[in-house]
Amino acid sequence: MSVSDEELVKAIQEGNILAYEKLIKRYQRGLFIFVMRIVHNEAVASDVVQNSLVKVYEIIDRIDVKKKFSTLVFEIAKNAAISELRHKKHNVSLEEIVDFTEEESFIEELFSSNLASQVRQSVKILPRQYRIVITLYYFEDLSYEEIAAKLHLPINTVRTHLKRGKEQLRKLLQNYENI
Amino acid sequence: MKTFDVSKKVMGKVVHLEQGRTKRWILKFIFVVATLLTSCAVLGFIAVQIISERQGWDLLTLFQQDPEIIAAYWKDTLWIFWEESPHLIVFTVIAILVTAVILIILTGQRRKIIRKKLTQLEKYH
Repeated sequence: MSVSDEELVKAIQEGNILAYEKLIKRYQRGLFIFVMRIVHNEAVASDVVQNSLVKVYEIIDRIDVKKKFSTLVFEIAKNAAISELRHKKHNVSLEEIVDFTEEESFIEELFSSNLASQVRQSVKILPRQYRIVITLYYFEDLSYEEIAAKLHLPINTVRTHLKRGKEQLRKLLQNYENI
Repeated sequence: MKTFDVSKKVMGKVVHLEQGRTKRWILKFIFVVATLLTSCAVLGFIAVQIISERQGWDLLTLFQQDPEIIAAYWKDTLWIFWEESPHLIVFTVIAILVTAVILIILTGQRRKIIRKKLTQLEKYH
């Protein structure tokens, strides 16, 4: 059975520094995908993720273990990504920030350790075409183009399947939370 | 998309950060405790000198006498000894010692964490 985020944070607060590696491995991919959608540059996204993870560690002693760790991590990454964009563009439209925030909540849920097994279960229930696209995109890190090539589908179809798949997944997860 | 793994890089930075933090905490702790104990020792030495000058230690030779004599005069002797002592210095020494003990007790948990961190930092290299 995997250790929860809260247990890992508590272990780190008690001096088990190396437990942070588990948290990094748990979140880095999700954070990278999330930050990529904001900065649209792999090198910058990689830097933002690294800096965000270091920043999280800097404040880890003050983190309340009762609060959701994933929210904090994604919040820090979002702020870091936005300031990176601001730094580059000098300004970011409000619309862009709203888009990031909406996207963030979904991705955050998706990659949160507490929901990880539930997400995988819910993905299994999705219709085949959505399930395959979601799995390739989120769990195997393939791009739209790579998925389109692999499944012999037009890119727009991949986008549509992904969008609908995410909507269905969100509904399934909401149902789960309501139980 | 290639596999994204920054765990080694982040852990490198985290370890570097933690080494600095831990080192600073230990130095701060040692400095505070050493300052408290040194001032305690210096003030204690001064107090002993003053008591010696006032020949206060001679009063305590009573306790080398017969038990009946000790039983009859120990209270008066100790009272005179206390009266001959430099009160302000003695109270300061006691206050410093109490502060040091409280500090050591309060940082007990933190020291345990620091010890664990040091072991982990060693393991990482």
